[in-house]
Amino acid sequence: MKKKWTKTWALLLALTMAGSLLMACQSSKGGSDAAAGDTAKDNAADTAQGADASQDGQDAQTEDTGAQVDPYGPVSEPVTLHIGRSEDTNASYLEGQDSSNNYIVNHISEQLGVEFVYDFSVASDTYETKVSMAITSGEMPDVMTVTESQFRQLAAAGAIEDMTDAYNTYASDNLKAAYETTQGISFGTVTVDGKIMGMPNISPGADGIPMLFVRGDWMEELGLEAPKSVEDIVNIVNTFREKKGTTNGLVVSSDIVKENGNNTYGIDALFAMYGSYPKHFVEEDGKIVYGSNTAATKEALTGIRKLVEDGVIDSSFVVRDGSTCEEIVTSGQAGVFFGAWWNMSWPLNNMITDDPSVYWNCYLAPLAADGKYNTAMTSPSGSYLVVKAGCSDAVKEAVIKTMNYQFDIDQDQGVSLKSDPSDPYSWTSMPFSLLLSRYDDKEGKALAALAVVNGEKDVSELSGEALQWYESYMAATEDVAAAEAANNLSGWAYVRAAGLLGQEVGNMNQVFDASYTQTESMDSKWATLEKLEDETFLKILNGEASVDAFDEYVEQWNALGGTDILAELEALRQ
Amino acid sequence: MIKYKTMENRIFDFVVTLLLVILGLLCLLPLLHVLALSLSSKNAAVAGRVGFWPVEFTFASYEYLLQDARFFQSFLVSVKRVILGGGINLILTILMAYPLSLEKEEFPARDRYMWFTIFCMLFGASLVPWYFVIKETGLLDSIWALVIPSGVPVYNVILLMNFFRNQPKAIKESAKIDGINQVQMMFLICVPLAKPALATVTLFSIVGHWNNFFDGMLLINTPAKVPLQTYIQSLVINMSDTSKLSTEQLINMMSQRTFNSAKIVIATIPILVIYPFMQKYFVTGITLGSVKE
Repeated sequence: MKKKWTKTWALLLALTMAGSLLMACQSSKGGSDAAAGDTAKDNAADTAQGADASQDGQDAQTEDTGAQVDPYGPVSEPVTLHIGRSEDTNASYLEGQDSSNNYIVNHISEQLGVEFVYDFSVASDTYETKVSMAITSGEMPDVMTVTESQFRQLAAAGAIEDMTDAYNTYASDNLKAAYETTQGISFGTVTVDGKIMGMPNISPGADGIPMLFVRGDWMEELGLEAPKSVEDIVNIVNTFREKKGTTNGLVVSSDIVKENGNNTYGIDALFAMYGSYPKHFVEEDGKIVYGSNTAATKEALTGIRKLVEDGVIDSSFVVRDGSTCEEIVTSGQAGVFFGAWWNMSWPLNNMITDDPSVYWNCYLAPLAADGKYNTAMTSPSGSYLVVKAGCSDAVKEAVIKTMNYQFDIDQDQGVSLKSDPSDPYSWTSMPFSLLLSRYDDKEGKALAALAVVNGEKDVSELSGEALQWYESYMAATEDVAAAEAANNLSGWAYVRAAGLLGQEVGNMNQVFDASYTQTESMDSKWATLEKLEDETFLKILNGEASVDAFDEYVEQWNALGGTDILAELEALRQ
Repeated sequence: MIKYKTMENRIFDFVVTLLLVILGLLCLLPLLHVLALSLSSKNAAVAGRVGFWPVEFTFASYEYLLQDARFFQSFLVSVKRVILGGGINLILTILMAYPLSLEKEEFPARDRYMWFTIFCMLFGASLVPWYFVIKETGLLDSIWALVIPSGVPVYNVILLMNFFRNQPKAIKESAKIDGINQVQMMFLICVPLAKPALATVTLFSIVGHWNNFFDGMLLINTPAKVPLQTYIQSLVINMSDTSKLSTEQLINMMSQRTFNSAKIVIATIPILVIYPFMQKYFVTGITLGSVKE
């Protein structure tokens, strides 16, 4: 009797046990996230080998495409595209629509005869893990966007298709012109042995140029002149403190310099004034050097340290993050900071709700000794659309044609597709998570809008975003409070800030990186080097370490792998 | 006679109470802050003027939330997950805990299974093999991926097993004399007597399922199937790399603080509602299993 039961229970237990195994495995997942990424990279090479064979057969066919190709016409045969995409969870959609079924996707799908299927479509913070998993498991979608380091590994393993012919044949003139605005930087990274192996994104270059924002209403009231030098800025800060009772000077967060621009509350511009470009690889005497390690940077650190000592920059900036700074600025405790062009709209426009008399000015200051405004330029590309090796030509055709549509729709901000002007639009509702703008996008649109404002052009020549900006500008110059109530202030702000960037382009000394490539050594060593750099800079600036600590840092930086990275970059340039 | 209310004891009591109050506040204040944010105006939130009391009181965030289909979609997924996952956990926990609670004479292999279970609890495989098992079993991108891999919560099994062991032997023996078999013993005698413990472990698994965002992040590929907490996590997380976002996205992301707070508040409500009902079992449930006769 007893024995019989024992068996039953043993069986039951064994079954439940199977379940519990999975459970136990699951409980330890937190720490191993990083490990997953590494394995993914190792396996990329293995999984890709098999695809090589099928690729060879197709190369012969690509030559004989017809002379007349409609970049917007239907794809030569019906295609189903399997896509991996990162989406924006904050985006809003029309009733009953979502990220994979909306008026934009449906329009492209109908025009091209392409069906879009999303193998995965996840929030952007999860996306990179998903891609690693897809590569590791050998089940890549036909099309997805990858990071530069993932791209390099996939290309080396032969896991992705050559896009050269497809791009040359099917890309629209608009798209080609957009890529040309990057002056070859975008294609520099993706060209392997003369072949374009992936389609880079294009981010607007304006994002990388810092601007000085100053409370305009206060300046007018106190009769202050537009700032040109650091002394002017110091003077404004001190006058605001005396007359306006601001508790903070120049608002700075602990992210003093950012490689990718968009640095609200940074001080990239102060460094640039000294001819120093931290976090950028620039050319000096014909050699590639790391901008954070130059003699000019040491000089800049000495100068900025003085500003901290004098209290122009509050010494507690080392513990401030973006949102703390934002509180200081929007609550009127300070009136001067550096930011990106779009900061004119956010967060500054929010202040107008409470007080319509608040007015901000933007400037390109401080100027360098030669009277020009120095600025480092950011890379237009950071993510790359790749097509899985073994995909047919029709797939590649569909990919490029979809990009044609994505570019045009984004330039137009979806206006011509909307059934109602208030329909939500976001470029992330499109099939590929690849931002396709122009490098001079923002300046161009702002200048076009300004030309109409000044009567040089007719309003009928504007379309898309430029037209929206123009309308907002006109509405806001007439009545700020009414435009704010109608939620129509952003274009006004964009025209003023981006317009300044466009007008002053001749007075700028735009410094492009000698190389925007991310090398192999960077994958493993960059985190350490960056931490060393950030800590040293913060310590020097707030007086914890002397300026001489800089020399020690440069030595350490080189010893910890910096020399290798520079050598790799030089080798790539040859 | 020893007097309790000596000076020393009073100070001691005071310090203990103070510590507990501080701990309690540490738990409560963040919640209050989020609640206040969700009821404040956007501008007040951005300017950082909101503390623990709403500034420029408005229900705008909640009105806006009512139109958000995506939120309710994930809410439903989470409800489904809790019902399925809670049910599976409950059944499997009972089935596992009962045999393990038997005497060694009744079930000789008991200790071996016990050690095996505990070993699995302490040492798990890493993320990648875990992911592969789920992918190869075809669970990926379905609700089952969220409930089956966590089907047997070992900690709950041990709690319940101890509870079964401490049930009065006399009841079980008299049932045996009446000719009851083990299955009947489990379902007719032991389980009905273990209600407090069952309520406790169910609450654990419900809260666990409701709050877990990580597996939803890894195992779900389609937006419509994402559970609520994964969705909220993706809304409020600090983006480390903003270079791939367009300006509009950056602005959008930073100005939705009040709206996201409203979502967090709504997401905590179900758990807050369940707790009071379970509370009466909760205290007895945890402690009963630990007291040996």
